Amino acid sequence: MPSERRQFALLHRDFLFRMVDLELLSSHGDVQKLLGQFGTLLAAFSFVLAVLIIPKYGTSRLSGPVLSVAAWGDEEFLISTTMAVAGLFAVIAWNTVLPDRRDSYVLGPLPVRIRTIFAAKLTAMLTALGVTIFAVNAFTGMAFPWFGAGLRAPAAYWITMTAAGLFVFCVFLAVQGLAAHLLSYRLFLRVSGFLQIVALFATLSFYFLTPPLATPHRLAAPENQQLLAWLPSFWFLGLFQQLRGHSDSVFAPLADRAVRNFSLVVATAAGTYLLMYLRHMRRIVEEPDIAPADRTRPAARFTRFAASRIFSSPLDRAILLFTARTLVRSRQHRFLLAAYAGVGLAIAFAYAKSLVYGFSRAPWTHVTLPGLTIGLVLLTFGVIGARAVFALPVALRANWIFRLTAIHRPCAYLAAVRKSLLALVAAPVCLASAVAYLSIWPGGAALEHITVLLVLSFLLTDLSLYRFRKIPFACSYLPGKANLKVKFGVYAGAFGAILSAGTALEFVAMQKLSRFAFLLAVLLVMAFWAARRRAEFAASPENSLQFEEVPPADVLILDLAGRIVSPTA
Amino acid sequence: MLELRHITKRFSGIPAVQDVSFIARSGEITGYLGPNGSGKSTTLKMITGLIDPTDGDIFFAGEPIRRDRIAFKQRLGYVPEEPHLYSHLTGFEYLEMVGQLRGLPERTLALKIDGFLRLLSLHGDRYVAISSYSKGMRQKVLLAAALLHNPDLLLLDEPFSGLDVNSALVLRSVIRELAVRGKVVLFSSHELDIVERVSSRVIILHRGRVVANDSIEQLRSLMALPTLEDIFSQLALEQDTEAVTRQMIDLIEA
Repeated sequence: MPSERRQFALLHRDFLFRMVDLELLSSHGDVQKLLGQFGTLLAAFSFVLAVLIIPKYGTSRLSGPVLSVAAWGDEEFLISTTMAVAGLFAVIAWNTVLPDRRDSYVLGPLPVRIRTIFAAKLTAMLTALGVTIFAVNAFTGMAFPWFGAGLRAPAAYWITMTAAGLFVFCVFLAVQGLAAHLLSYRLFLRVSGFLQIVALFATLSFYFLTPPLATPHRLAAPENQQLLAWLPSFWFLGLFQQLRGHSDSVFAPLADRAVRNFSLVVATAAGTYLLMYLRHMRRIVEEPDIAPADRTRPAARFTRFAASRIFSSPLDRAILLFTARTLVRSRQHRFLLAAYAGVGLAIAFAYAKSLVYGFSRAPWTHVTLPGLTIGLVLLTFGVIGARAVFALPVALRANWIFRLTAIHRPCAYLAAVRKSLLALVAAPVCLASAVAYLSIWPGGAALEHITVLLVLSFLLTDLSLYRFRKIPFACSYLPGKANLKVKFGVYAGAFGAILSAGTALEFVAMQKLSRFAFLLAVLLVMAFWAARRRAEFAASPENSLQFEEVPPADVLILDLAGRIVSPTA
Repeated sequence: MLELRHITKRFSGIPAVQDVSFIARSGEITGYLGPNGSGKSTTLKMITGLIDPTDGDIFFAGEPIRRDRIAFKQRLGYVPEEPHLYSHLTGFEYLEMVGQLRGLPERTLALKIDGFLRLLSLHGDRYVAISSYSKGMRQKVLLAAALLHNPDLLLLDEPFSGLDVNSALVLRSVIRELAVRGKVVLFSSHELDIVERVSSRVIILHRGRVVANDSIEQLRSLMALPTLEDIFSQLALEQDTEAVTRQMIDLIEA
């Protein structure tokens, strides 16, 4: 019998490097490099926060106690940031925290005890979570607790951050564990993907929509007590203050709530997780992996009916249905699209916050710049996200069927891709926006903005698909080709500038009909130009569908430079 | 008629198929044999257009297929060696997609899919994701997808792989009947007894080169060997089976 300790060490290492679902990120990614980059990114984020937050405490002329109270807002912000990052980590690692079919098949026949597997998985999870929490607090945690506090503060800070991060992680783990116990394995697999997306949106919603209540007056106000009971970042703010010895009475109930809920969640997660290993390792093998798609379900019937009515061409229907089915059923693609939507939603939430909590001068029932921005942001991120997700393959080796059946001109496929993007992303966003705007804004203003969104959806779709020569999900993907490290800042800056200038222009144009007509005419010209440019590229005779990101080289390069060993060496 | 003239394929300079020439005629079933790595699947992929030959030309019905690949693909049915399918789709959805990509009218397509699924005993599982299918069920989906559009040229790479006895018998009869109806059938298999029963002509490939190309009867009489297996062993096997077996047993027990 091999040494259990040796088995544990091997499994711990393997599980640790599998915490992030690599299938989701790239097919040839270097795991250690990727995790290193992930940690560095979080530490860099912590550095930026430290630079933004800490100097003001160093230069402040406020007395210690006053400064301490003034810091509550930043403390709550750092706690909620840690919770959000731990939540995002839990979402990314969602599919790797529970034993899966692969673990069962590979490890089941081997002489490895279940307790060894369990211990290795658990410690790998906690190691990865610990690294995440440490990285996101690397700079703020070293400097921030020392201002205006005693020696207890650093310990209190790290205990609080660890507990807050662990709390969020355990909430999601408990949700998964309970779902796995209550549902059959097949149904759990189906539900799990949607729970993952709900977890993503819940994390972002809590982070961006938590109201700013960290002042003595707001924390003590009776009307806020019910709300505070649902906001975990304030519970842990209470815990932090209690641990560092703060005697303000507003924190005692919050700290109690933190301890009580933390204990409950950790116990539930630990219990369900342990049971999962005992019960499910064998059940997983016995039950089919994927639940059958029930053709009688209204959604499936509706999709087919709609596709047959909207698109008369069989090719358009084939591409649309394949795209829709892949987006709905492929966990990776669905999650990546949700991540793009989540970023869009986060920006939209940031704009919406002032309207929701009434800090804006204008009420949310009137046309405002933030209100205009929300629809535009969601549309932009939806289209860009879908375009990015289209480029990622699903079952790459199965794409031979598209090559073999390529009996139409490439422009016919590319037109079908455009229609699919419009039908599956732009149209639903526009429809949801129309319902939302018509229900809160005056009819005329809402219709004007919806018209702008409609024209923009064509413009964005044609811009994003220019030079796109792929059938969605059917071409290999080369990670890092876009060089986003360099372009990301430029894109983000350009997007922010265009968004603020664009919404300001629209806002001004909506004040007068002639101005709005002019704006609409300009947008229509741009949309027409983009559509024509895309169509001309698609129809060019030398154009062909792309199934390989890197075509096979015509000339074979031996790449001998630097590998020649000196005879004297 | 399918004709390959001096087809060569090199991968990074290493030849996988070298100077292969043969003709597969309408009404004939041509067996394409060879040991693992001899270049059978590579040849079939070149015919489908999935990979391009380094040298040589392929003709179908007298026309080079590269002159109008689209027209050629409309007449081609292909069953690949590996059952790579979009496993998140159901069997029905996959066939529906293939039919739509081939531009079949909706009503015809629905009838054909329903018929194939019933005849191949997949009807009960038509709304089940392919990821749950057994190897044989996947093979049946591939067969149905290759036959949906009534192709003139059928390329079958290990078509019997994973099929149960009943399905294999049906497929064998279908292949024969399609050949009788004038289709060109080229099929590659390791199951020599099936090839012997079905094919009128065989091509044996060894290390990327054609080492035999004749009718089975002619090969038997030329080589004075009673079965296709004996002919194949003589032409394409390099190892002494008994010696390898002994060495392997020794290794297991070491």
